[in-house]
Amino acid sequence: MLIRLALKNLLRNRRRSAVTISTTLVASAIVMLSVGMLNGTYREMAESFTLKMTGDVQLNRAGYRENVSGEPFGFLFEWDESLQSDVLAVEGIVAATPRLETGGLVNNQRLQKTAPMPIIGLDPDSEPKVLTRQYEAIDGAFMVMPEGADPEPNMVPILLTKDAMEGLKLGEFSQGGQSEGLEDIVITLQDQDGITQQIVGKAVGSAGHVLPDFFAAGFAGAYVPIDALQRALGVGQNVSQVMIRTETRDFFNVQPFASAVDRVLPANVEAQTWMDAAGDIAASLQSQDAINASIVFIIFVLVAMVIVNTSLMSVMERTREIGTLKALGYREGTIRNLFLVEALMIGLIGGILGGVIGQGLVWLLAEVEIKIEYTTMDSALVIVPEVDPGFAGAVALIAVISAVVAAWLPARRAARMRPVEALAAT
Amino acid sequence: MQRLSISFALIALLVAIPQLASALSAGQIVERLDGALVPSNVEADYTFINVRTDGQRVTYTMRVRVRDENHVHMAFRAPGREAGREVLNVGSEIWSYLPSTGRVVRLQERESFAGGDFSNADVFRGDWSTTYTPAIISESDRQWVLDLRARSNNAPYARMRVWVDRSTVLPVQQHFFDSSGTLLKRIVYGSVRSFGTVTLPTRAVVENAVTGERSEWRINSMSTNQTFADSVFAVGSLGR
Repeated sequence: MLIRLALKNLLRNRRRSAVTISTTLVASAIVMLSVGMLNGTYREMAESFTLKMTGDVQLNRAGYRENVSGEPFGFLFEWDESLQSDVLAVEGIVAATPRLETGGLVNNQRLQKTAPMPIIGLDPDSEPKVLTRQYEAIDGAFMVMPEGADPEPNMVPILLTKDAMEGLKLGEFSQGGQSEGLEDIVITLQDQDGITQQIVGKAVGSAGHVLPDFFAAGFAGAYVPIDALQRALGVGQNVSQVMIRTETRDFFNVQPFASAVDRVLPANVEAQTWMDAAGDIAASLQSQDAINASIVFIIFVLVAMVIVNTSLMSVMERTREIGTLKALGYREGTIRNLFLVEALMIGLIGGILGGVIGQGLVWLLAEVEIKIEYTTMDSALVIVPEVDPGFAGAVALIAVISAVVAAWLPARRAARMRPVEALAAT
Repeated sequence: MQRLSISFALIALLVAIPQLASALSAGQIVERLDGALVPSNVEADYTFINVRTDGQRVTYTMRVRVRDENHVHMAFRAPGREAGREVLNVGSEIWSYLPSTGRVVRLQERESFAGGDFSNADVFRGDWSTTYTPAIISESDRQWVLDLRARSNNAPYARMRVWVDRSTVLPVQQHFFDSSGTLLKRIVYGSVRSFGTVTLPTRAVVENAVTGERSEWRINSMSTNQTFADSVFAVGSLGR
């Protein structure tokens, strides 16, 4: 009966009911859309790390990240066939790729321009299997000598970041492409015995498809095949780091995989998640739940304020009606619940409709690529909004709770009116 | 009487010589230092030792030929894997040749020499008198202490402090600073020896103030009054 009465009352003042329901509807839709966009942004940023830079899990020697002295040989570990197969045999591990890092002098032979910079060795075969998004634009193999390059024996292909190319006065390379007139590059470094060694190669392209430009800004570095760098440094199969891709796409829950890999590693090697590598950025991404909750809270506080206002107006306008109901024997609780049920229905209708519309908008935008361009990046961030399947229901529930809570005081006020005073009101 | 006057004059001159030395200006001292550590027209055998943070020592031996401070050629003799490597300083340019690749690479003054804590600038010694503005900040009976400030940003170091022995006008110790005043490294010179007309420290130990790593060079032998063909100091002759 209360529900029928509440519905009748809502229909009696259709304009006010429509405004209040619309407020709740729009708020619910905005919450769905906002959270969907934020979730999409967080996922894109997490993917930018894991599928472009770090992998899901990283293997390092213990103490590697605290190695402020940059000692290139102090934190290497052997990445031999036995360890590779043990790691790849762990359930959920899809691929692994090694890196070797040191420093050296990079020289443009033609202009005799030399600059010190980090030298990173990578495996061009396994890298695209781990950093899938970073290499998805590459058609075929990268870091190869192009046809017609006519390299000398033992020359290797070398990739350079934009800043490195500028420092060495090299010409521009198209993203992932080759330039004409490949320059001879000589990298001079010290092997682990302190003997001077050189890697001679051709600058075959930009490192933009190895290191995302957003992260490469201000970084001058050279990338070479890891086996060439291992030979030059005399370190055998030792590497600085291994990046691993797992089968999960829940980027914030990769610790189980790191723990599983850790069990097959030698004592001096440890497995860490990408969040350990990403540091403060990962911490801010992990706070997405708190940010989402804050958005929901703020929006529904505003909705509640609207409902408080309209409920009070409703109570004031229906004073005589309340007096009549009381005179007819309706209890305080019943009158209070009548107003609360009205608020509940507003919240329910607005919340459900808003949730449905919001979900629809999220699906619609998910079909459209939302690109956010940054001046410091060549490639844009691509946001795909997403919400959990049950989130629309949660939004409707929050809308109902907000409406009921907001209507509580006005409902109580209505319930406590004295019948004589209420009837006497004009 | 005349003989007595001459004697007094000689005695006065002998007494005056140290005072004359003290009258050297900062610029004059630096000019003499410029020529002291890199004497001209000499051929010498050097030993260069790197001591790494893990305690490993790497020892290089090399033959050095110097026409003047703008023409210095080094040929590595040991260890075996370094044999044949050459480093050439011509004016402000430093070139390196590696026999394993046959490639010549131009280096920067600020870069490490042979991976140790001596920089190329330390070893080949740019011209301090034109690169830095010197000032005597203190002196005693035994030493001057000079402060050298870079005249431009191209100098290897923003500032240096040098302790100079008054009697020999040779460096005893040297500190190197960056533009923020941070101490980068120290060099201690010692084992002063004479080779013919040339007297200089034959040992220098550098300590990296940041990492604590040490490097050392020693002069084992030196032949003076040498003449060299121009080709010795030609970039095109490296590796030939």
